[in-house]
Amino acid sequence: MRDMMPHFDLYQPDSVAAALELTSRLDEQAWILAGGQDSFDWLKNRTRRTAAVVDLGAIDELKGVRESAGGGLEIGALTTLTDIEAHPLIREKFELLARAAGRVASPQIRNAGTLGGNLCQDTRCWYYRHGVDCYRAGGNICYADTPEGQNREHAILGASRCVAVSPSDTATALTALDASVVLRSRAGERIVPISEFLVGPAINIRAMTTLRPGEILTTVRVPAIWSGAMFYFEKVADRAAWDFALVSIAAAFRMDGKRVADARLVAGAVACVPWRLHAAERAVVGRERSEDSAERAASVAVDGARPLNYNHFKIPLTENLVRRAIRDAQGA
Amino acid sequence: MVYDPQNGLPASVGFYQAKPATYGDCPRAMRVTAVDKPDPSSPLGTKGIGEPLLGCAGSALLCAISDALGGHVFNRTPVVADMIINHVAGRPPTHGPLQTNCQ
Ligand SMILES: Cc1cc2nc3c(=O)[nH]c(=O)nc-3n(C[C@H](O)[C@H](O)[C@H](O)COP(=O)(O)OP(=O)(O)OC[C@H]3O[C@@H](n4cnc5c(N)ncnc54)[C@H](O)[C@@H]3O)c2cc1C
Ligand code: SF4
Repeated sequence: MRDMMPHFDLYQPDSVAAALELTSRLDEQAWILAGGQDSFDWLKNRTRRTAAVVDLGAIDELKGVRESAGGGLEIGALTTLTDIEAHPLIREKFELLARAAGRVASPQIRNAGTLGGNLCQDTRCWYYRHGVDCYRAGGNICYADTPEGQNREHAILGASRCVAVSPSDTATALTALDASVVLRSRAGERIVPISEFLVGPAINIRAMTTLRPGEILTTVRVPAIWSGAMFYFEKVADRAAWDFALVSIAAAFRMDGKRVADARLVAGAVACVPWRLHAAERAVVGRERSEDSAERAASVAVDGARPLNYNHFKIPLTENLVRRAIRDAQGA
Repeated sequence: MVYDPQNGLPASVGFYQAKPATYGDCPRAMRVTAVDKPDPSSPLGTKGIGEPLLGCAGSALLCAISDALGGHVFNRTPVVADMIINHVAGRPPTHGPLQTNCQ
């Protein structure tokens, strides 16, 4: 760790139009900066360099939460995690997101970190962060998936050469809420479901999102579908604060009387993307939420998991979190 | 502290990877009592503090874990939470008996 900010040209546009003008002019040279909680790590450690930084911090149109016509929410990408956690509309409709945002890192990091940055952040695989030439960095080896590899935090599902996991707590919640992201470039606007925005190594081993050079994530759209549903969020980490998930669960249940009409069970930090536990969802839909259905869902939750040397514990941990989500989810 | 022995790489660099306990991880109230017995082999009856206590803390923790799990499962240090989770779930241990490099 070198801890000294290297030289770069700093641009601070005050509108999305001006920012897009800059990113297209600077093309792949520009590093987009939001709260800096991931960016500064790369730049200060000098594992990455950039000639120019485009700081979105002064763009007010990218901040805040609005209700959309259909009863969902539109959340500006530059809204801080602290604001997400506290926002009355988010707490009323999608408490799952407020809870997940409140479990990110530490209060200081949540004050600076933004929702957009939290979704776009890169993996925390410690080998990769160390600056080794692994697959994800463009090389042709994975250091974590070796007999001596220290891979306790790595993936048990969906790996393909790279076994890194998604670090984002809000991504897990937003996947359960069927959210989508609005991506703008000079060429126009794309609206991408979060499940297609976040990608695993089989699709792109070098990047965790489908963000294109010159594009800016402007808005996160949360549709009304899960508004006011029963939610459960739990994150297991080594420390109560200031730590990434070992496994987390984000769950949403819509009830029809006593039975579950529809469900989302999404596990975080078990794969390179938030991982929907489809089999567990199917096991609980149409049934009451009980010890019995929780057990059924847990028993199929991580079928097909392929643990590495040191992360077997993630299997029982995920199963237990599925049990708890079904048993303990609560309404607004 | 974690080390990749094959590549000679340290994992625990920086505070977020070395993970010292934070305010949120400590018990709200801690009770401290002294074992009021002088050491007969030192001239003033004094005892060393600091280093000697690490062994005591380790054995106290191991005893507590054995008590909770109903048997001597781990006759070793360190014991990490992963080992306990694996054991309770009836899964085979992932750490070798004398392995000390544990995350
Ligand atoms: C010690 C520590 C512990 C942490 N623990 C957790 C945790 O437990 N859970 C968790 O979820 N996160 C955790 N984080 C990560 C932190 O929450 C994220 O790094 C932070 O939310 C990123 O947001 P930011 O606004 O600071 O983004 P930045 O660091 O500024 O940006 C992150 C990346 O996203 C890109 N980017 C940002 N905004 C946009 C945009 N609008 N459009 C296009 N690209 C964009 C940037 O180019 C950059 O590549 C932790 C971080 C630290 C340092
Ligand atoms: S898990 Fe992925 S990021 Fe980590 S060393 Fe392997 S290839 Fe690189």
